[in-house]
Amino acid sequence: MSAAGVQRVVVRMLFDPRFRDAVYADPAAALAATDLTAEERGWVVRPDRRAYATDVTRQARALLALAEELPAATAWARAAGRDPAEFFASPAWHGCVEARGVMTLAYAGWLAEGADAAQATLVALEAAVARGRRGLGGPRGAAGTVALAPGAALVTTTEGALAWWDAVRGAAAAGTPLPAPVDGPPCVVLIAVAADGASTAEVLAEGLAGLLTAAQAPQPRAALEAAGRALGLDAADATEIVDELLASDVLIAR
Amino acid sequence: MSRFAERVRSLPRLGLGVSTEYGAGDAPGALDVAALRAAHPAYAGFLELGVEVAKGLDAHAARWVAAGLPTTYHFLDVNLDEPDDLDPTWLAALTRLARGAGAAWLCGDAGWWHFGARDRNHMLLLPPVLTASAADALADGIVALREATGFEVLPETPPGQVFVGDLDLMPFFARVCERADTGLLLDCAHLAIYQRVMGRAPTDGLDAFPLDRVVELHVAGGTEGEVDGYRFVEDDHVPRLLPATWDIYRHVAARAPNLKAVVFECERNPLAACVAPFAQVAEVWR
Repeated sequence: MSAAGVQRVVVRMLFDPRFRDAVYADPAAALAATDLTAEERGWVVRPDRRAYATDVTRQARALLALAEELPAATAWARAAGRDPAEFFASPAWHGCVEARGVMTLAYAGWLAEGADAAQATLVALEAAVARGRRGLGGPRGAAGTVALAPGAALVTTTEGALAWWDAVRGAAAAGTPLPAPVDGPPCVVLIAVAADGASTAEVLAEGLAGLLTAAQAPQPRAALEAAGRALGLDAADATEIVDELLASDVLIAR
Repeated sequence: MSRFAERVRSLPRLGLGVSTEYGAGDAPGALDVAALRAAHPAYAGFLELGVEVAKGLDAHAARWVAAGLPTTYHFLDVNLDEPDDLDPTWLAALTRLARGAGAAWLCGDAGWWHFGARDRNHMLLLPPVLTASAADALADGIVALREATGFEVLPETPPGQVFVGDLDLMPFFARVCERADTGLLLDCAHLAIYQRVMGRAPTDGLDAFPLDRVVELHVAGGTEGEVDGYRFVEDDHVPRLLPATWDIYRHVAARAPNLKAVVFECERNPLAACVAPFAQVAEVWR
């Protein structure tokens, strides 16, 4: 086992008191899913167990950061009676640490577990921003391809969802009751995150939504323009739109 | 590259200095480093810049740098034992920042600054797993950072309450220094906490450590805390040094022939509260 593997277990024990107790109670059983040796399992339980708990605000600080990135989804979860701190006792958190994942996205995934439609919408929108902020929006493509940019992501939702999302964030910040979700026809929203972290969200017209949906798979520019023509654009418009999307960093050419 | 014993001779003697990190100077009651420099230049011989590449320098640090005053660059965002952390983009940005600041060297706690990939929400600070293989991985990271940036890289003994592995802290860092052929930033307060956690006297084991590797010392105050009856010292940088920290500082400062810099970490305290302890710290190492 590597030192990094031991360190990951220490991180999990620092953040999750129940896991910590389980490890102290039966190291072999609690760490059966890891590759830690018997000697290494002994190391992590050698310190006084209370030493793991000396930073009493560790979980709260992490939750604050998570709630900053997913404010509406977190508020909706709380309003539904769910304690966000339970995330740190979840397989999503432990799996994230072991797999070197992104905690914010793991948290988004945990919020989405068993979510109603409203919560699923909030998670999808805010997770798209989080992915864009980390350059994980668009896919990696080979040289010579065009695709949705790393700072961009598409979310399929309903018209009115963006205004409702804003209203939920506002209510969460103000501590007022959260507004009920609105119903509307389906639409595609483009989330775009700039280099400075600022994000925008806009409902796309049908043709543009189709073109960008196609761009979720990296492809030669000619193929993307052909997809645009198949959606009803004429050749000149398809070329012009792709140029504009590249210039505005919604698409990226590699 | 020449050996550490030769390279260390070309490092400047910076004297006594202070540290900062992004936003620290804006906190209520924080130390005004410019005012300290103006009133007591010997206590602010240099500024140690605590930097996350993603944030860069704040206005206080930028003003210090613009004035051409001496600095060191203290990284806050790299796990030296993880090769993936030394990615070209981060290395280029760090090099640009450190050169722009005129840093005398790079330094920073040699542990985990984050779990998983470098991410805004993954920050923590953990000591390394104290094993020979972890020491070797850490040393290799130090060499890689030194070669990539051209700066001397001083690993710092990190803080912690939980230490795991089969080596003691100072033999671990002796191995790191030997394999990386590097100097050390010994944080006296961190070491005092480690010795207390392990139930040892403050200076236990220091005679077996090659103190000619020590280039920089940190001293800082700490506060006793308690959780479920467990008493511990929090490394909160108050201006009052604990006796164990003084013991370590006096012991090492008197025996480290290559000591070039001492930082009194008190960045979140008002100047008036720091002047007297600064004088005491200065008295030990002239």
